Amino acid sequence: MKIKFRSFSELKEKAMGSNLPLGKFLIQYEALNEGKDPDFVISRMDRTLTAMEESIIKGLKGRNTSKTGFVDGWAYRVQEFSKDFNFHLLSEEFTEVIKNTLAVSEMNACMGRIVAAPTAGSCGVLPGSLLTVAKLKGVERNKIIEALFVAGGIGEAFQMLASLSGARHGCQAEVGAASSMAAGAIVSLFSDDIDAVESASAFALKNVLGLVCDPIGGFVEIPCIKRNVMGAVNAIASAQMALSGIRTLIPLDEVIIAMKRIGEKLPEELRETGLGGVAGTETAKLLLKKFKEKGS
Amino acid sequence: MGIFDIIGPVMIGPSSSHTAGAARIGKYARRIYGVHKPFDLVEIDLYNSFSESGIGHGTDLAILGGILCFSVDDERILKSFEIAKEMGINFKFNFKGIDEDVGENACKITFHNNGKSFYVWGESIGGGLIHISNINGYSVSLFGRHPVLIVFAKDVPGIIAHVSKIIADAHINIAKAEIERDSSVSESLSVFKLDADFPKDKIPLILENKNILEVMTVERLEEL
Repeated sequence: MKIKFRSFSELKEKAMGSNLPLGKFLIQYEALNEGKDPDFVISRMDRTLTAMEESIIKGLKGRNTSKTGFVDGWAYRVQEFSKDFNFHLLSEEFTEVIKNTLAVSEMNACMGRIVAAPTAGSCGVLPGSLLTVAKLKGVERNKIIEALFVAGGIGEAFQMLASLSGARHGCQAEVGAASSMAAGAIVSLFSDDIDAVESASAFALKNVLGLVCDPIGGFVEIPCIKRNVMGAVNAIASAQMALSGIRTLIPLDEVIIAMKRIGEKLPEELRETGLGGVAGTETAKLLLKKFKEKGS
Repeated sequence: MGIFDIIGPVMIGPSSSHTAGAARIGKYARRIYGVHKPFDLVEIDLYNSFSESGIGHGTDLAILGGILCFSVDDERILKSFEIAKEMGINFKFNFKGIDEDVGENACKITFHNNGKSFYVWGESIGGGLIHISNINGYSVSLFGRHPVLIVFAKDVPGIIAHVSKIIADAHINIAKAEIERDSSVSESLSVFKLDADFPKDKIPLILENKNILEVMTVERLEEL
């Protein structure tokens, strides 16, 4: 029999009724709905996790440059600078989050192999935050796989109540959603309390409501890649607050609906058209013109 | 939708619509044309956003990679131009600019062989999903999620009955069927979306009806 849910609160209710932690419940959910063995969906997620890990490693191998020339070895610079000068504003771990997120998002811009999570434009957030935290804390692989299912379950709630498309709801629905998914997933590494998962996700999303989608020339580079870093840092901060026992007063579902309502009010220029916001600045138009002249 | 639509696909960047969707259109168009059927030239017309921002998104590399049967996560997509040249495959891209009559991320892929041409219209509809809207002038609506049986025939009675009987005898369920006619040449195209692959050894049975001109089987895109 298939399991259905239409919102995070329904997912929470069903998971609690099953007495399984959220990640394990979502493995059952995916297996039942796809007519597969739980082992099959676990091994598929294992391969997805490997692809994420590889995108970090590859992204740090050298200076990544994109076709537009906008991306110019940012991840590599963070890596080399921190190594050469042993300089970290906060800690080595914090620099690690920044570097890993940049690496994956740069891989995407430079036609590397990445995992869209939930979209290609926001693909740096989950590896940069969840995977970095899990590695630094020595979390077991099966637990990371379960956390990816938690992230997927939260993403499904977004899909059901709103959308994960920057063209529809702006960047809040891409980097914002990725950050929200990552926040809940990070909590699930350390706690089986679904209220804590929900709170972290709600915090992360509330923090970025209204974020517009304004990529220069429509290319997922500026400001998208550095916004992924913001999404990763926001996810970790939100998880830390939720793990400390702070609870959201507004349920995640309602925050998602608020995101949708804001998205519907955003003018088209601020929804992935490359016309408004950062993309609409004089310098952005000049950069784009230069690239197009070079290309033709 | 499932968890792997959210955490996935594993793909070559940078864009699910302009890169992953583009590669899938190329791959599916090649499957419709025939993976083993030779061609002298493949011509790809890019429209709207595919034409305007395709180069920066690697849309051209991805479509050609798809035509070479690469999957969306295959790193050979980056080198698809070189690989095609090594394989002796001739290709040509035409950037057609804005056309409001076709989809936002649309392309037409034409296979030329011995003076004959065969074309497929496809569009990338977001999240890496695709829609095939036209085959050789016949409107269709294919998403790559089902195995498909395509039948070109003369526009006479009895074609559907003949073909559906053979599908039934093969114990395959028809999920959806579409029939389009071209009255200018009195020919028709029937598309049967199936729940399982149509066995190739049953194709001669279909061709026993002399009004049937050509039969093609198209596998589903396994990653969808």
